[in-house]
Amino acid sequence: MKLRLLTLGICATLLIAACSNDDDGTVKPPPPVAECGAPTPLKLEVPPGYPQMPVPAGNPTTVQGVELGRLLFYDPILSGDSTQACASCHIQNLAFSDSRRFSEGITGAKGNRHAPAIVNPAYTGDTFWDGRVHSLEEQATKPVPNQDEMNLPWPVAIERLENSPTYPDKFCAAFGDSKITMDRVTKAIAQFERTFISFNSKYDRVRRGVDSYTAMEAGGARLFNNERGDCFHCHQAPLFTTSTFHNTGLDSVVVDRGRYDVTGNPADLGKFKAPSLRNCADRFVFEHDSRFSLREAVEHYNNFHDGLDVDPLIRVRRSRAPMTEAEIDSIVEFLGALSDPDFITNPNLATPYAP
Amino acid sequence: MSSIRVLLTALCLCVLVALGCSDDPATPPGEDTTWTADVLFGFTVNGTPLALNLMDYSTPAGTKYSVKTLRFVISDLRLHSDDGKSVLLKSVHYYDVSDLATQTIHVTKLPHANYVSVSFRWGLSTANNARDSHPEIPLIMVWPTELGADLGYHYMQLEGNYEKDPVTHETGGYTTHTGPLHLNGDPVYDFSFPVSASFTPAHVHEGGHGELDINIDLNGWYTDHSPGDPVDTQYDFKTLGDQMIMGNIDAQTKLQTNGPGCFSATLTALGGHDH
Repeated sequence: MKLRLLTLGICATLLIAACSNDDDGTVKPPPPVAECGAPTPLKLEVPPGYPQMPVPAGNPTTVQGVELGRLLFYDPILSGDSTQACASCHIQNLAFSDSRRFSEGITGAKGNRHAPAIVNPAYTGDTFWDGRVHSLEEQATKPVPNQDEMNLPWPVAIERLENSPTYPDKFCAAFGDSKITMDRVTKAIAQFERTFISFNSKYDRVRRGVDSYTAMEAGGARLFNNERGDCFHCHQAPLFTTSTFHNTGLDSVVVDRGRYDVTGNPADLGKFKAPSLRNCADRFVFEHDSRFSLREAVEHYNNFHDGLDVDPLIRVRRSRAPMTEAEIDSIVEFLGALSDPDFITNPNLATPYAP
Repeated sequence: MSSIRVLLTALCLCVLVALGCSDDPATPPGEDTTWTADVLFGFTVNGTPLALNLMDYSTPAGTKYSVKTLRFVISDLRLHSDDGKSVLLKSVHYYDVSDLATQTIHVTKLPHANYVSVSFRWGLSTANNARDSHPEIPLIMVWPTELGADLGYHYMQLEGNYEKDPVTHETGGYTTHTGPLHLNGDPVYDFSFPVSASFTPAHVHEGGHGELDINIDLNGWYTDHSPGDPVDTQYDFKTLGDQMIMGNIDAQTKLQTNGPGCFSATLTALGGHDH
């Protein structure tokens, strides 16, 4: 009997030692037992022929996580005076952008860049106009404590959520226990944002062979996709962005240094991220500082400020005949075909709160 | 007897589990018969190391220029040994001079041999170049549908500024973009091409590490490497630099003809055991 006990003891010791990954031989504690059960994985559906949607391993999308993220996205609880939510500046029928040139924070302060649209954000690498953050999760950490935006320190935000009658159970369902942290708040918001999928515009239907362009749209599509219009290099289908940074000659002297403030590389002065053009016709203002209407934004490529800092892709246009008014009209018409009515009216992306 | 059998069985089980749980089943030191390598890319202009954004270079046609952007795709990257065999290093590789993550190819378990050259295809062959066929290549490299329905990807995007007028120093942009072409009614023009670069035979010892440096002299794209040949392939920015060359068969042909003259390579052994 003693021998059997000794044998079992040796085996147990060896088993633990064999499977431990720790250099010091300490045994890792077992994972905590979930209080609320595991959340239900949610597969984000993308039509065939479109890029596979990247989802970070550390934040798999779940039904409960998306539900929680939606509540948070639309809840003013995350602003200092409980008057503003993410959705205050990212409005669904504007492709989750803002109609105002610069959004106002709770104190009335205005930023100096436009609240960008959120369309197919799962494919976005570096976010913000200058790409200073590298994931949706990281992006969501920024507006809440920003004094010019929602102006609520994260510890206070967490305390509010902990004291809410709703949220502890929602975090429990989404993450397996009711602990509330900034990390979990932003993960949930990012999960919700990954469901902002827009692949049912006229462009998509034409691509699938179930619709056709008007003659003007077809002409615009050709210009968009050849070197004459040359939109495709920075706004490549099917996402209509390449998520790359460009100085498009907006100013003769750089006003906003853009990407330079992130990299410190003088070659990045005045560069901003090429935004997705999906649903652009549902928006009112364009460029990082909202200086243009949609048509003006297209016209700009006839009238940019030239200089050594300007992207060669733009500069080469100087030697070519400008686009005609009719060509600009047709490109704008084609851009209208990138609107996805289902996206801006999708009830699953709308506020979960009663009006 | 029964107790001893239990003890032995349990010990065997533990040994098996211990082996099964090991994170690193590597061959014991000194017995590794393979080697590892890093493939690196270097750039020169007329033999001078490339510095981005400086208007310091001149084409053979005498036009000053700078380089701001360099992205390219290569495929079927192989090392060749003196016994006629080759080993695949990578099927498709995308490089961006502004993205560190794309700038080194790390290869493991290379067989021991005496290596003499490297080869690859510049770009992607038509059979290997279809839209969405290589999701690791970013969207900015996608070839536009209007120049060949869903042909796939650019081979190269080399961009910068050039001096249009040496008196006024007026500058403009150039975009040397290469890729396949399929214009209405025409066959598919495959402008990708094979590259082979020999180097001083190198032998990386077992368990060792080597560095394969592939150099691209960017002026080579604009240089007629066979000036005696009746076909002039000199590429002049003043006529082609800022023009729409992606759909220009003549420009693409010049670049395809000049391109193979851009490449050289070295393989350097950095350590290991010699048995």
